[in-house]
Amino acid sequence: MAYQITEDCIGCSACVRWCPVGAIHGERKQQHTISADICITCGACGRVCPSKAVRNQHGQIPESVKPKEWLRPLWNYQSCVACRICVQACPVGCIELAPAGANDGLKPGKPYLVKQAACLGCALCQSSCPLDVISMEKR
Amino acid sequence: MNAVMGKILWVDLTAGTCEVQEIPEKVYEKMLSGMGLAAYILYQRIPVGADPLGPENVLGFVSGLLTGTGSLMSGRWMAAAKSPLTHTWGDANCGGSLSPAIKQCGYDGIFFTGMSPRPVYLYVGHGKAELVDAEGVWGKDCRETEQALKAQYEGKTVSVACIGPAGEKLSLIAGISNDEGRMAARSGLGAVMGAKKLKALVLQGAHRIPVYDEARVKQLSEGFNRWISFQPPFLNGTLMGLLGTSMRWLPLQMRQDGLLYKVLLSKWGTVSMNQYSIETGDSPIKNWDGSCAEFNFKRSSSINPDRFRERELVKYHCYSCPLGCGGMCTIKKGSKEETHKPEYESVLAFGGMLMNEDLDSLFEINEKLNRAGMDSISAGGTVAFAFECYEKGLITRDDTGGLELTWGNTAAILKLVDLMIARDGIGDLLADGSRAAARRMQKQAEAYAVTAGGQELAMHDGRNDPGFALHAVVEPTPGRHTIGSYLYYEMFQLWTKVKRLPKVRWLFYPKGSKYTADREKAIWAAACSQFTDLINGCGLCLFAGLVGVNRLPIFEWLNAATGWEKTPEEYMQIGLNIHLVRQAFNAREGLALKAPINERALGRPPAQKGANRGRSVLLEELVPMYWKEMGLDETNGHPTAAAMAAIGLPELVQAPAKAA
Repeated sequence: MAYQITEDCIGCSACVRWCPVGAIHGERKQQHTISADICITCGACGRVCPSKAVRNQHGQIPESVKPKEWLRPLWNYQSCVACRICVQACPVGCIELAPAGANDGLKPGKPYLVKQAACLGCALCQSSCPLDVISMEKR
Repeated sequence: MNAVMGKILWVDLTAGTCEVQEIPEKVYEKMLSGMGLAAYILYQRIPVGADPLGPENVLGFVSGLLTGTGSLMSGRWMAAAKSPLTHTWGDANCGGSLSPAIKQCGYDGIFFTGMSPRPVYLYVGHGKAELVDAEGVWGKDCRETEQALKAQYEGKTVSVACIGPAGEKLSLIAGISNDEGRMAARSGLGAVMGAKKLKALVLQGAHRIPVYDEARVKQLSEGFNRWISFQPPFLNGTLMGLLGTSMRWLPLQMRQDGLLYKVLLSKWGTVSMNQYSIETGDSPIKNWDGSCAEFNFKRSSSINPDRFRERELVKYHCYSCPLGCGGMCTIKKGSKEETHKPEYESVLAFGGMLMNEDLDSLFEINEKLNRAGMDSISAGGTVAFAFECYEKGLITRDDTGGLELTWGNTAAILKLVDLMIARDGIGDLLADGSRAAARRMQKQAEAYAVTAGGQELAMHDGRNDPGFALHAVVEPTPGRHTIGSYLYYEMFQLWTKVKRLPKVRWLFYPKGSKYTADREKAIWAAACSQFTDLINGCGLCLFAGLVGVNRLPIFEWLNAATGWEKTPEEYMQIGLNIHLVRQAFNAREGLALKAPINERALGRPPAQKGANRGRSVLLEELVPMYWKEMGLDETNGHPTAAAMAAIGLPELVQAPAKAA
């Protein structure tokens, strides 16, 4: 099930700019639509919609939240096994593995948020982690 | 459908078009995904007699059924096609990050037909697939290609599989690279890509992978990870070698438990076995004509696993692997250039096989081959062939352009590898592997090409464990070491879940019992074949299997991810289904299903020195017994019509098309 845009859409295209997979189409000031076979239900469209015109896969209207207040991943490095699942799951490529010799709180070979501003706060990394070592936190 | 995407992508390189095919759920239930899906498709779509380097060959890239479901060590992808090296069913298997990327693009597999008139690569983004001009990267090595292609795409992490100069030059021992040095190396499938003028796949999808019971899969993963986390601190590399020496002298064989192997892999990676294998007779020396008597403990100390660990900068993990047997290393002490840690196979193929003690050269050769996209097992075996031919006078200094191919001559090894990659001078003769080279030389040269079915044998000696020799000749992909052996049967511990299978009861048993041919050995081998095909349908790493199914929840993961309620026995039947279709592929080609193998690898005549002295493999007795246990025709190994029909997919019993 994909997200849907309702007739409350004002065609501002904010969702188009944030959608990481190009699933949303529509002319400016016209109602937009989401291609169900492309949407990955990351929820970014719902969080940025100023007119509450997006319904999630459960039919609910997500709360609008400013991007800088989105929750972002934090790893418990003691339990993280560096399996890279989170790196691969991230739809915007903002998680990488820290290189050899990394410091400043990073662990060589373990994942970290390399582009905080690009992170959608979608929590796909968290839900895909097989060992539940990721928590979503305000950063 | 759960755990799979239910679709494959077809790419016609001649027409330049892409098309989606939906796959019915029944196919996954009978064949799984991964190797099973590839077998299902290739068996139907490659005409009998097709030229492996022609347009009718189909090259598939498939992900595993368990890949991306939250299971662990399930990130293997496979390439499959008719092999130009062996002219049989061909497949190669690799970790890295491509396997989940295939599924995230919305497919369980991507299949290529035809031949492009010019170099191209396939880009699959989210909801988009297109062939793109690759003139800009044609001629670049694998690392350069991957870096150049990744730089063109922003956003979601990009996964790339590509060929290097070896594949472009149609070397029959060319592989396909991923993650700048992980290689789907075997069967010469890089040459199939090269012939199709397909330089790379660039994958950037972000689809979710549906899972029936995510919580249950995670619960199973957490339990398995506890085994993987177990790591005693006291081992060192020299101790490993000495353990091998004591095992050699001991008249008894110790039943192996994969948990020990896991511990070694976690600490050193596959190089943990370097000295141990030489000392026990597992590793062939000097083109299979030497032994630990010549490449003794002092000489093999050059490849003590601790020497590799000293250069390791950071662990390398394939997708979904908590173990991390890989590593990124400095190519030389003090150098800033990074390279993948060489694997056991590469180290021994260019170490003991050539009597080479120069560790720097092993790192350098490994990097050269990774960049060229050439199989290090076959390349090492072929260089060893050339060295022995030089020793016997079948290759002269005139042939080599002045190179002296004498055992242990590191400079000559390095130069010969360069020549093979460039197909320059004698390198052109050797670039297609040892069997092809021998056939272009004098007849007696074939005696020094140690292959099964034309593929160089890996660094596991059947004279030490006859199971390796048996599987090298009876598998649809000949010459492979990653399918079965007596050692693997012990480690898989299948009897804990598949109750019909016999348990290896004693912790110690007489070594001589390995060299008899009896029904129990055939049962072990048949179980290994079925289980490994199952593993390859799942996209699981062989090393996960070696930890043992008493710890690896493969059957439980499959049920939790798909929603099926199958028993371990039923899953083993699926493994058999996959095997049958691959076997039927070879049978209809009219090939002998017992691949010809170099007599030397069977101990004929037996070695006079070293760990394997006096041993030989009773292959003629073992093969029919194995075929019988597999339910194949025990006279020729053909799948019976009844067995093919019992798979339950009528499309697999229809008459195949003939090549144009």
